[in-house]
Amino acid sequence: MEESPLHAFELHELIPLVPAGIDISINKAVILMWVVVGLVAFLMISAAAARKLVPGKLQNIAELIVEFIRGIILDTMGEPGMKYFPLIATLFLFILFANLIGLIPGSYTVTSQIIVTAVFAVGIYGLSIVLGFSLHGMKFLGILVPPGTPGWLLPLMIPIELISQLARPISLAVRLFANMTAGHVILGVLFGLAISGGLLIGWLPFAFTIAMNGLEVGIAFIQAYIFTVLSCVYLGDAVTLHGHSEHAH
Amino acid sequence: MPPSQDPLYAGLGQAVRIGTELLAALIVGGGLGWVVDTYLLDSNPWGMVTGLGLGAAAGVRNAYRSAQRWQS
Amino acid sequence: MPQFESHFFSSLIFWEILSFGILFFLLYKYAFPSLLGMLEQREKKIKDSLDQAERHRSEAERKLREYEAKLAMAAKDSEALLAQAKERAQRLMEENEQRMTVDAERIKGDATREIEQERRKAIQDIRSQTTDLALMVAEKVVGRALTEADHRRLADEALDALAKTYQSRN
Repeated sequence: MEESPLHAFELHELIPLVPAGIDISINKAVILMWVVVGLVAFLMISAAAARKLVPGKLQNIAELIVEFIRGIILDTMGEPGMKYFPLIATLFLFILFANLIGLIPGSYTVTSQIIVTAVFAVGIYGLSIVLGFSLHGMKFLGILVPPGTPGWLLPLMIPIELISQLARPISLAVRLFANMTAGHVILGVLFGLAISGGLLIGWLPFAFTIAMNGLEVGIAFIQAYIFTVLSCVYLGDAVTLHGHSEHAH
Repeated sequence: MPPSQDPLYAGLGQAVRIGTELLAALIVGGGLGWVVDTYLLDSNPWGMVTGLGLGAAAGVRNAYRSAQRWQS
Repeated sequence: MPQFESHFFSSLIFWEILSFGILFFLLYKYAFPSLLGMLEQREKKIKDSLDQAERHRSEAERKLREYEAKLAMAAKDSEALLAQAKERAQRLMEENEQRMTVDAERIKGDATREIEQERRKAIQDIRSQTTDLALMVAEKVVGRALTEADHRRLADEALDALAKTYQSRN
């Protein structure tokens, strides 16, 4: 079974489910999504229910996360961005816990599925486009024209801006997927070496595996953080329409 | 940047970001060029060449913009 | 890569949207309001206590300024009082001196006048006595009694002569 380090990403239908011709069969990734939802909901809701003035450990973690996300939103979108706090916070928590739970041997990393990260990326980017047009109307097309562009450059700048806009959801989706996949491939290979290496030299890759696991925890955090920050930046650009000019100088 | 953010992680994040930013822009540019070549103008391979060029420009622009953003 | 097997896409998309929606709803309803509220409450408390400290500080500063102003005023008051007292003493001294000078002048004048009076009286006395004496002498010399009026005239003539000599000598 050790033919490929990628076999860890293979999915198998556990419970076939095809209502109205749409395949929504249960597989390992789906179950891990449920685990993420259950864990996050349990952590946050029980922390919220504690409501003590001197917070316990759980409440502390939950408050730290809330404060962290609020900091991201305030830095990228300012006070008006707090309207999107529930969405951004849920996104961050879902991705972070999906990344972290995937590190447990034998589980599955939901975010190493390109389709999963693509749904998040397209969803957030699509929301930013919808918000942009509903808030600014046709003026939102001005996002394709960087402020201070001379007229003769427009035929060149508009396609470039259009491409850079379209690249946003793709880079968002690909980055998270690639990082999660790569990390797990390396972990898988090292773990495989540790098992097959036996007692004599097996401990070496095993030690590496442990070190890599530490690094992977960091990457899990960073990727969730980057995804969240960029989501905020894209939403902020659409909401304010000045995000461009602010950073152009 | 949130004040709680470790500068090391911020730097790492930035480094990881810029590569994908370039790649994604190239994919989009090349893809659009290919679509123009194959379905619209039958201008193979000039659409794709132009697309890749524009994609590279857009990627550099995106990377530059995100670098500016992280700096401020 | 197994992740590009589109066979699982539909079920992954469906379950992802569903579970994300459920998580969003749960957190939106039961977790975030309370957690954000707690955070804001704590921040408000910190801000309040900072504000209070600031208020206390400015209060103390105000009091210090007030006290300093009072102190300065008191110093000015006492200075003014001292100057006033000095001035009064000076005035009193000057007045005293002036009065004393006036008194001395008056006393001196009085004494001068008195002396002059005495002198005049003395001269008058001497004059009348001398007249009587001269009369007596003359009576004896002349040997006959002149009339009282003659006597007087003669005596006065003699005296006048005498006075003239006396005055020219002096």
